[in-house]
Amino acid sequence: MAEEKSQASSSKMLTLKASDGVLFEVELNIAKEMKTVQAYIDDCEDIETIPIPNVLGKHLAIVIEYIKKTNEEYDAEFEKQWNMDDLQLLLLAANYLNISGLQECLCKAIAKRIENKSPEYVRKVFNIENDHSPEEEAKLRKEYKWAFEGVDKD
Amino acid sequence: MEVPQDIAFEIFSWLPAKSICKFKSTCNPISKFSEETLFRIKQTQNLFGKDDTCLFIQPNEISQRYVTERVELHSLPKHQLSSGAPNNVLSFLSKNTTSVIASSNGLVLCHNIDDPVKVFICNPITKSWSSIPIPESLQTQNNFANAKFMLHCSLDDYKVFIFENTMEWAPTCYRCNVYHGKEGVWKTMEHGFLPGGRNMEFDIPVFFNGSLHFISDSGQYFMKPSPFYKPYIMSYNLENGTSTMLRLPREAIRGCHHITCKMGIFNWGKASNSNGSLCLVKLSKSTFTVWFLGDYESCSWEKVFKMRVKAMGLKEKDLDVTSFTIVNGILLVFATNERVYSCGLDDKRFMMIEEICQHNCGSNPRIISYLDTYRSCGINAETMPC
Repeated sequence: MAEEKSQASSSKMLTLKASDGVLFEVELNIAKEMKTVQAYIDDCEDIETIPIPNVLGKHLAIVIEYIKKTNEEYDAEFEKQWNMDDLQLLLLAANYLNISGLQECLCKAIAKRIENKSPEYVRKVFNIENDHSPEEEAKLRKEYKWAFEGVDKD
Repeated sequence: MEVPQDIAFEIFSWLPAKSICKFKSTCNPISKFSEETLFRIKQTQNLFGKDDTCLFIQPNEISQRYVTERVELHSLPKHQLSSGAPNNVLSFLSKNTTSVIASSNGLVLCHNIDDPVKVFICNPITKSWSSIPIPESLQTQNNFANAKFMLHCSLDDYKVFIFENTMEWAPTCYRCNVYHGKEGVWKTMEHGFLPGGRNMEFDIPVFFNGSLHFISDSGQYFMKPSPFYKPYIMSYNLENGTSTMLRLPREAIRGCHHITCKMGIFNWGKASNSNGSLCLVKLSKSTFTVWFLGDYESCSWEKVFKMRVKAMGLKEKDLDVTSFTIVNGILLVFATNERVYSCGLDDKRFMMIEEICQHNCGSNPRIISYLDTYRSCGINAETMPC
């Protein structure tokens, strides 16, 4: 009896609804990689469509593809296709959906892209306000002068 | 585009230490990240097993007493922009007659040349150091002058090894004392290391497969029937203390008694992936040859590289290559009296020669690779006065 049930559930399809209304039909085992979705399923057993309010259709599509294809090779090439904005939005999606492998892959990729840039560039990219006083900032730049040797042009 | 602070925290924990220091000036919250213990632990773990990005270049042990700028740090070509360490820490080490013995995952094992019993672990990025207390029994002049040190880091702990000659007539035996960083205690291995008849090159230890490996010297001081006539590798199992001899490739042994012949063993490939192994570098009559151990059990070696120094297109006219090492398991790094070069051994950069830097460390400088992380120096860590 138990065997039959698990066989049925592994081919069960689920519908995910992105924030812009786009629908995605995915297999249960794919959806389960998103721990947030898993928790939703655990709470309400007979659900067919799960709303994903924070993620646009275009990003949800990318996330689902990642889960299906992830392996060392795929991960290495994955991040190259997206610009910085998309990477951040994908990271927010992965964070909301709680997919640890994808979160790590994206964090590493964003870190790689900013590591040689200037603090000004980083502020722009993450929309950060400089809340240092001019004196504080000057002090930091002096103390860590060696870290500013060799910065990529923005 | 705005990311919440906890996500920025995650992203930044994947950055090399130099970038983290640079981005402190972005804003106040980010400047505080690297002060948090959790951040330091994450960053250290995220970078564990990653390629080393810099090289410590120092004069050889004997010359180091008479040279002022004793400790130089240079970035590898690929990592020029994103790696390094504070200059004032390097000056401090240089001025205080320090010799760097080994480095792993951001920790640097040093001792004071003028007072060798002063051994310490330091992290140039966090500017912290922790002194390693040397057991009384080792502190007598004779024993300590001949003691050999090694450093090994695992994900959450480090070990410092000291091999001391027990001075027994035969067979030669080295007692292995191990300092466990996390507990702060010394333990002695039950079975000593039996290196056989030859002198071992303790300066180039290789940690692999749960054992420490050393290559012997290759001087001609044994006669043919002796089992130690040919040079060899001796491994020391760190679990059970057994010493096992490994053969060298036949071509390496040929002509090894020649005075210009120098051989070294190093880690090959990535320790993390299953293709990791040992490799042997032979520099003889100005030609480099490299073999890797294809099959450990059967001791079968495969030659992967052979190149004359003259064919490398180096800048100097006087091509006196004196020291060499393998960095990150795939890069042959070697020094002339003035410059340090690298030669790729992997598919992508095979036989590509690059100049890394010029140096002032004289002939036969010591080359030790380094990765800048926020790794903790363990218990007893204090701030360096610099």
